[in-house]
Amino acid sequence: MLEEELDLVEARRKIIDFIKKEVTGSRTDGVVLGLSG
Amino acid sequence: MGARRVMGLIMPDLRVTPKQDLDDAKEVASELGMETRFIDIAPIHRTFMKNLEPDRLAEGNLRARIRMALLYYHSNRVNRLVIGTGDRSELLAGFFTKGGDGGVDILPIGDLYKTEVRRLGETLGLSRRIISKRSSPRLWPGHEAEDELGFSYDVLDSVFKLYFDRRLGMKAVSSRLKLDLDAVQRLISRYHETAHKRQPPPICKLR
Repeated sequence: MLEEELDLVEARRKIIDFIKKEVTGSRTDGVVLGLSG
Repeated sequence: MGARRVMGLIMPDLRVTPKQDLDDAKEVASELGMETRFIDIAPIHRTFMKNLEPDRLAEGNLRARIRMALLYYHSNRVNRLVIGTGDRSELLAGFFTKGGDGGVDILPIGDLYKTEVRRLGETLGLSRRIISKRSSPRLWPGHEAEDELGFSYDVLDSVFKLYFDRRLGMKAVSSRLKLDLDAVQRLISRYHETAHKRQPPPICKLR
């Protein structure tokens, strides 16, 4: 519907960096997530 | 980070969750090579409800809160962060359970609209069926996000992008999208009415 689209390649890179940084910064060993309710 | 540092919990209430959801979760986990745990929350929910008065909405939110407790149990046990899968559409609409799916450590896709999450799924090579699947928190039988919201995510995302990102007024959004002003107002009201969900609890300042 709208003309502007986010660069998803760049978004994907930022998301991966974000998760790595958060895991390292919190001194945890990884992540847990809900795959399905 | 590697798949071995990622654990996925599959937490259906087998009275509510369709079998297809479980198959989809297993398919994604298998493709990514991640560890999974399967926990049917129906017995836990039933135990709660033995001591509580019935209420459809509260019972639904209880399911989300049981799932949150199970995620933190595992994160505690194996020293991991709880990743939330909430997106910008859900966050702005307040379409999540406080202390439920909203109770997480980080929200990596929290700045992506639902329609962008689906497009990201395409770039990752996820199956078309999973990408186009209707969104549901599975809080009660037949629960569908777009039915409860009263809008498709295509419409909701378009309104929010113009209002919050492009900073157009409600009338301009309505005109631009050829959407009833009343519909735009309802969506923006939803944002204001759910502000408490996006903020930490207010503290009574004494010093």
